[in-house]
This record gives sequence, C-alpha cells and structure tokens, in this order.
Amino acid sequence: MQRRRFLTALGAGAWAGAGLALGGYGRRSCAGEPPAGTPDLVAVRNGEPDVLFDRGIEALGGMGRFVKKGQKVVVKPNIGWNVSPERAANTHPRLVRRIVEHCLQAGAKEVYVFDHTCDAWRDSYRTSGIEQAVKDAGGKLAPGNSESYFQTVAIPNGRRLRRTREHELVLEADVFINVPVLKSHGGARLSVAMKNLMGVVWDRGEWHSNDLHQCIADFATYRKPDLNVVDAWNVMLRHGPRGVSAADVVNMRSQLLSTDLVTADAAAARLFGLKQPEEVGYIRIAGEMGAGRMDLENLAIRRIVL
Amino acid sequence: MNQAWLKKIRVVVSLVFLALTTLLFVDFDRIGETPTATVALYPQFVPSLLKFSQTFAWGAAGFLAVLALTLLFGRVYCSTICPLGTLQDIVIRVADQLRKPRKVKFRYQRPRNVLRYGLLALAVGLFLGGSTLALSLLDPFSNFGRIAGDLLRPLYVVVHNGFGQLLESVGVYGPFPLHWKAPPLAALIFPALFLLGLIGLSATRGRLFCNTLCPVGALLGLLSRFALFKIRIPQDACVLCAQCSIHCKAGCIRLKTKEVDFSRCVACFNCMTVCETHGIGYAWSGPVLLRRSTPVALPQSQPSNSLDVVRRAALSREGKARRALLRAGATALVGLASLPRSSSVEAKPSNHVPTRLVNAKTWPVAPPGARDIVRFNDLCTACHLCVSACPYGVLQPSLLDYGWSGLLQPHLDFASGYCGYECNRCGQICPTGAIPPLALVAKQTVQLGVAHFVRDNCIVHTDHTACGACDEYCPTKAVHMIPYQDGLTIPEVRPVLCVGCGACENACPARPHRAIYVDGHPVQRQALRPSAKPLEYQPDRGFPF
Repeated sequence: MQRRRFLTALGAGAWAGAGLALGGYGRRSCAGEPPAGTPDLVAVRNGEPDVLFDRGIEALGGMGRFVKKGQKVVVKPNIGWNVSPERAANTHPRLVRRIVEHCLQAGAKEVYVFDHTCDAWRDSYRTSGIEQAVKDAGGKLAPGNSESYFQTVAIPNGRRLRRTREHELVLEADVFINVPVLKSHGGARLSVAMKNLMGVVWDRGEWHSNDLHQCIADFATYRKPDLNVVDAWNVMLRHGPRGVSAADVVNMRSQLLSTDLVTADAAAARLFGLKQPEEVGYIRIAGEMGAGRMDLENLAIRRIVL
Repeated sequence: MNQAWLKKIRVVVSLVFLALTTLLFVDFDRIGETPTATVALYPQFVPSLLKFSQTFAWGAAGFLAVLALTLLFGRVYCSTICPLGTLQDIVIRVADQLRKPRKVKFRYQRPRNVLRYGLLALAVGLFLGGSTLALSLLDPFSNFGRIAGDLLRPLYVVVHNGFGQLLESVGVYGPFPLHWKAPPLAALIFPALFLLGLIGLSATRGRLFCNTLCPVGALLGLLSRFALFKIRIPQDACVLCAQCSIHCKAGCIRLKTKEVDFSRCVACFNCMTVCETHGIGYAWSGPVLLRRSTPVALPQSQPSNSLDVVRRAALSREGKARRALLRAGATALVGLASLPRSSSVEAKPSNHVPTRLVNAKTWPVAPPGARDIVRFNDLCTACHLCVSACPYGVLQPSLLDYGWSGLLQPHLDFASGYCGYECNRCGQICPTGAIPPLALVAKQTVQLGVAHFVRDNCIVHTDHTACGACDEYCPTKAVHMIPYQDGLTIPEVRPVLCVGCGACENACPARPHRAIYVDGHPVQRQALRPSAKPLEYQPDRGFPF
C-alpha cells in the first residue's frame, strides 16, 4: 500500500515536473516587466482594508498590470480558522472582496478563492465572512480540504522539501494572488506571506516534522505568487495563529503589497515589532536561498499614510 | 366498511418519516437540519423515552403520543414512524416483486411470546441496571441509524464526490467534496450483519423482527391488547378468501378462528386493501357500555360469547403470569446488569506497562457535556447521529473503549479529528440526551480530558527543529510554546486551561507515538476560561522600515 502510494506519487511528480519544464503553466508570462519607477514594496497605513488596497494597488501600477483580460485568477487568503473577522486569525473579508472586484474589473474570466483550512472548512469559510465577501464580489469559492485536488509537484531548489502536493487551482491559474494576514505564530514565530502558502499544499504535518522553517523557505523558492497583499489591518500580536480572543488583536490599519513574498514578509516582520526580519527563521533562510529580497534598506519602498 | 384508504395515508406518512430520518443521517450539506431534527426525531420511541426520563419536558414527550396512539389504534408506530419498519416494508415489497406470481407470500405464524417479552424484559432490566447494551443492539431507531449513518453514508459520499469530480472536470467547483472518516472496520460489522439478517428475515418472514426481537414492538404489542379500536374480522362478512392472511406481513391473522392477534399487528393495513368483502377493519373494542351506540360486527351468538369469556379468563391468567415473569426477570437482571458496566469501566486502564514514548491513555474521551462516562453509557443507544453530524469527524463509534456496556457508543478519536471549539452540534442533535444540549459558552469550558506532553517524542527535542503544530491548533492556549534551546520553542501544557479537545494530538506530526495526547476524564470537569489582558499598543503614524 505504502509502496504503491509512493510510486503513484513519484509518477505524478514526474508528470508535474515535465509539465513545468514544457509549459511553465504560463503563469510567469502574465505579469510583464514592471514599468520603470514601480516600487518593490508599497506600504499603506491608516485606512479601512478595502481603501488601503485601492491606494496600494494604484501605487503598484494598478491591477491591470497583473490581470489581463480572460485570465483565470486564484486568490489565496488565510481562512484557516472557524473564527469571526474581529479575531484577525483570517484575512479580512473586506480586503478579499475588494481584491476579487479589482480582478474582475481588470477583465479576469474567473476568480477563484480557496484555502486548505485548519478547522472544518465549511464553517471556516462561513464564519470568516469570506464566503459572503466572495459571493458578493462575483468570485468563486473552491474547496481546499479534499485530497483529490492536490497534485504532486517537484521543488527543484528545495533542501528538505523536494516534492509536495499542491492544489491544482494554483497550478492551473494564470495569476496567483497571495493574501495573508499578519499574525503571531507559536511554531514559526510569524505568519505572513510565505507561511500562508502552507494553505495551498496538502500535507502540512510533513513540513512540521521535517524542519518547518526550511520547508517554508524551500516552497518559497518554487512558488512565487504574482502579487502578495499583506493584511495588517487587524494584527494578532500574541497567541497566534489561532488566537484566544479579540484581546490578542490590535488595530494597525496597515497593508503591504509586493510582488516579492520575501520582501513582504521582511517588511511585515518590522511592522509586527521585530527588530530584524532575520529573527524569523524562514525569512532568513529564504533570503539566503535567494527566494526573494529581504534587504529593505536597498529597496524602492513607496510609503503612503492616509 | 371499506377502510382501504388508511393504507395510502400510512404509506405516505411512513415514506416521509423514512426520508427525513435518512436525510438526518446522511445529510452533509445540512439541508433543512433543524426541521428534520425536530419533526422526525420527536416521536422516535426509545430516544424520546430516554430524553424524557432526564428532562420531563414536553419537547421530549413524543413517546407519550406514541403510547396514546397505540392505546387508540394499536401499533401504528411500527408502520409509519419507525424507519426500520419502513425499511423492512421496502425489502418485503422488493422481495415480493422478485417472487414468482401466485406464490403465497405469508401465512399465520404462531406468536413467540417468550422470545419477544423475554427480550423486552432483558432490555428493560439491563437498562434499569445501568446498561443500554441490549437496548442499543435491539432498538429499531438506533439500528436504522447505524445502517444509514455507517453504511449508507459512505456510499452517498462516493456518489456525491464522483458527481463532483465529473463537474470539476468541466471546470465547475461544487458540489463540494464530502469527507468521511472511516470508523474502525469492526464497528461496521455489527450494522452490516444486522442489515443482512434483517433483509433475509423480512424477505422470507415479513415483520418477524418486529414481533420477536424488537423491544419497542413487544412493548407496544402489550399495550395494543388494550387498544380502543382493533382490527377485527367480522365473522358474518368473511368469505374465507384468505387474502388478508396471505398479505399479513406480521403473520398475525389466523383464519381458522377468524382472529387477528392484535398484539402482533403492525398496522400496515394491507389486509384492508385485499379483503374481498371489505369486511376486515377497525372496530370498537373498548368497554361494552360504550359499545351500544356503535354498530357492531363482532360475533354475538351465545356459544362464541362464552368461548370469549373462557379465552379472556385464560388470557388474564396468562397476563398475570407474564407480568410476574417480567417483574422477576427485571429484578434478576438489575443485579446482573450492573456487573458488565462497572467492571468494564474500572478495568479500562489499558496501558499496564507505561512506556515513556507510548501515549499512556487510561480513559476514553466521551462527547462534550456527557458529564461522566457511566452516565453517558447509561443513556446512549449508539444511533450514531452525532457521528454523522460531527463536522470535525472526531466522533467515531467505539468498540470496547468503554467496555461491553458502551459497545458502539461514540467516543472522540483524535487520530481522525478534534473537537471544534466553536462547535456544539453533537449535543444539539443527540436524540436521547446522552449528550445534553449545551450552549456554546458552556461547552467551551467543559474539560473532556487533559493534554499530556511527551517531551521525548517531540520533534523540537528529537530533531532540533521548530514545529509548534499543537500550539497552533490549541484554542485556549493551554498548550503554549516556551523557550527551549538555540531560539527554539517547545510546548508546555497548562492543564487548568485545557478543554481536552484533542486538536493538539490531532495536529502533532510525531509518529508512531505522538508527542502530545489527551487522556479522557471519567467524570468531565470544568476548565478555566482563558483570561486576556488587553494589549498595549500605540498606533504609529509612520513605518518601521
């Protein structure tokens, strides 16, 4: 049984690898070269989640830079927990809604939203407010908790994580938008953009038992979202990632946008209150492995205070 | 008088009850959950009786309505409300279609009173003695629940998900896939064998189950002897066409004496639809005084009357003897019954040799609000409705985790899920009250057990890498991370905050033995509600980068 499963996985991995090599799934081609003067990071402060995004995406060149007419977009918020929005364990529904609206306005054919949740997924989708937000915006919710949706992929540059199983929507999408919520995390110290990608894979336990920080960084070398939007409107400063009550949360009213998920994480770590982003193991490793840039002082940052 | 129309009503009502009950047990999408729960569960006899015995509330008094109905018209329950009865009727009908034409379907069967009343006494006696074992193995509702929930539900999941995959291949997401956490295979053997036996029995012998093994059938049968209206064959109208007897699923119509054994009649009304003279039907059987006003189709001649007197006397002697037997049986069983439960629960500590790395679990974990294991074992009939309803898949049928007395009763299996902190569905839906309905706030401080951390199994300790999966899932931060070495953090448990939900155990990636596990409480306790000091936060106008 074990062996058969292993062989199947191996086979699927080979196919996925071949697919990547041949087609590249077309996702790299969609976001063209950024126009000159486009910042590496946009930080917006002091506004409502949807307003922050309006201003942030504008500074980054507008959604039209990422989403072209007729494309298939997948938006990956954090919907991990069956808790309401004020607990800030999940991405704010108003932000998710606004992003879906922007994608559709830019001409997207379909906008899918999903997460491989920790708590029961139907309950989490509903309680987080994201189910309603996506419906209102005209997007489509997809399930992320069924093994059948996950395809084995190879991580060529991974040190500990050589292959994993990734949700097929992410494999198929033309545009992949990562929308984490910034929060504390008991095991990984901080949960932001890279950590949020644990919700597009099937077997998270494998990561936990196989050097968590290295696995998170390994996956960041493989899967780079086209856009990362860090929701720091409400920020859970302790007891993360689930939180115990709304008392764990402060209203930071901020948002970070970057095409580089390591940059997004590094800036988020500072925003969270850490002196150095390197304090978070996976940010340091991902920076060293070249998955993205964490040297904020050398980057073009657009700071907007509303 | 032609009462054949009764059957049409009976069929419609029974199909409605069957559909609603089946929906309850297989409905993952929770369509119409609340109305079906109240309508279909209310009159189910054993659950309602058990619930009423604790609450004495009208909301649980459905069995009283059934008793009243039985005292009026006999065992109407058995062919309308009881889902297992309707299931048998369907089997009978299918078997009938497959049968060669003109073959006699049923014939009169002699009553098996020792068996049926004996089993009733056994079920009642064991229950009074503190074990629901016989009741849960024989109760028709619970058996139907296990068939629908444990056997039909996985089939439904396969079909549903197959359909979903088809749609997905053309790019449509939804119906969303359903999850079914497989219970231990051995737990499926009982309902599977029961179903096979039931199919065989009903295809060949009609409703024999209801008149031999079913304790509800036996009890209502006792009562229907005193029904005010009974189905009778009018001696003068009967032309001995034998159709009623051939079509009687209960085999309770004796042509020789033109009698209906009403204690075994399941009120299916088939006889009324086939009677050539439309003679057979309900007739007043109450006190003679009141009978004057109603036209009577009963034998009035002197000899039969005297025969009637003799028989009635014999019946009452038999009745006395039976009652004495019942009492004696119940009393005897009271003593006997307490043995299996107490000994099994006491003998439960399962790990005699505590290995440091093996999870030394001593008690199973009972559902939230069950208060204590003994009480829970006394009230649960293992219908598995909570197992079907649990969105987290943590409730699973047990084998001998509770001992024999709790056979097949649900326990929390943290290998297959954990108890959702924001969920109290099992208590809301439990039809017997074994899991009382708790408000969410109350449920969130019930301590089912306590988490134990095994440092030597922990990945942080063994592999020297970060993990924290347990802390991640802990809803109260009873499990939290404390500094370890080289900037790593390792879990610590604060038992007063632990609710025993098992999220930590479920999430722990250490194998084969987990590094954190929940040991159940024999008597559930109260956890402290986590308190929260407000955070101090000065909003910054700028950016720290």
